[in-house]
Amino acid sequence: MTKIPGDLKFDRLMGALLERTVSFLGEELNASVLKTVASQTVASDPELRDMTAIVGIGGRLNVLVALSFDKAFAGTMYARMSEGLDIAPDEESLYRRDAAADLVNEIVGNCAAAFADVDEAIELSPPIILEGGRNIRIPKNAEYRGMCVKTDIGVVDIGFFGPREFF
Amino acid sequence: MDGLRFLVVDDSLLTIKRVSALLADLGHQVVGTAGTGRQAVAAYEDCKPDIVTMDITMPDMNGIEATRLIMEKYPEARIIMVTSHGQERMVIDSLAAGAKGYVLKPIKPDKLADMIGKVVVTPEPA
Repeated sequence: MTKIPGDLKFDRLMGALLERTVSFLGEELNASVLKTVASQTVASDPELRDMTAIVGIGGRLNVLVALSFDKAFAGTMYARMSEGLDIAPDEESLYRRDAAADLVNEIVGNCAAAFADVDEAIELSPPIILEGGRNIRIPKNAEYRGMCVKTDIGVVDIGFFGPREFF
Repeated sequence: MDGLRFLVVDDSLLTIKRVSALLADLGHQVVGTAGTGRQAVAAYEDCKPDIVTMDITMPDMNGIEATRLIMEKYPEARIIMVTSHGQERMVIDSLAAGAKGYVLKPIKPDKLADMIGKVVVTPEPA
């Protein structure tokens, strides 16, 4: 991983991401945040919830952002994002994954504008979707730190995987 | 402006469905879809739409490169970038590639309708 710019560390990125997540949940999913709980930085493999969407932020940053949803959140998110659309039952699992991918894309993508002072051309990778609660193996020399967001439709963890200096 | 023919490009099938539903509500028709930049170039040649909605971050080839390739071959093409990426640099790069407009996700129907209106009145190159 590349050297993290001194003016773009975890607190600033998490602050922007949390702010955008809260507004997105309210505007797009009609959901309210009840409580947020910060986690400690860990070097071990963090446990993911039922569905997780991961996006790589490239350019000068080079960290991974993961949004991990519990079953209740993932179900309501899909129901609200697909409302009024004609989706065949045998295609639902595909569209559930796309709902998670769209959500992480839109939240992280919208945040990119807030960091133009550090990197005016932040690259975002297409999202990777992981299903089923599991531990994810973090890269060597990387750490994980996140925030648990409890809402009235379920729980979502926002987490970052990055080099120690990022935190 | 009713009844325009659209090619919708996005790597999310859910977004393709959502954009298609919005366009149908606005009285337009989706004549093709594509999930990567490379597919978008081929689909443009197949269906010759009036307007393309183009995502940026996609596997295979991104939307800015696909826009550049389509515009090289079809300078009359009208392409609207529809993306979550909010950085000004992306807007500049998209317009430099030949896009006529830029709509930020999550898509608001009125914003999309306004942009379609602006793109339709943009004079085509001679």
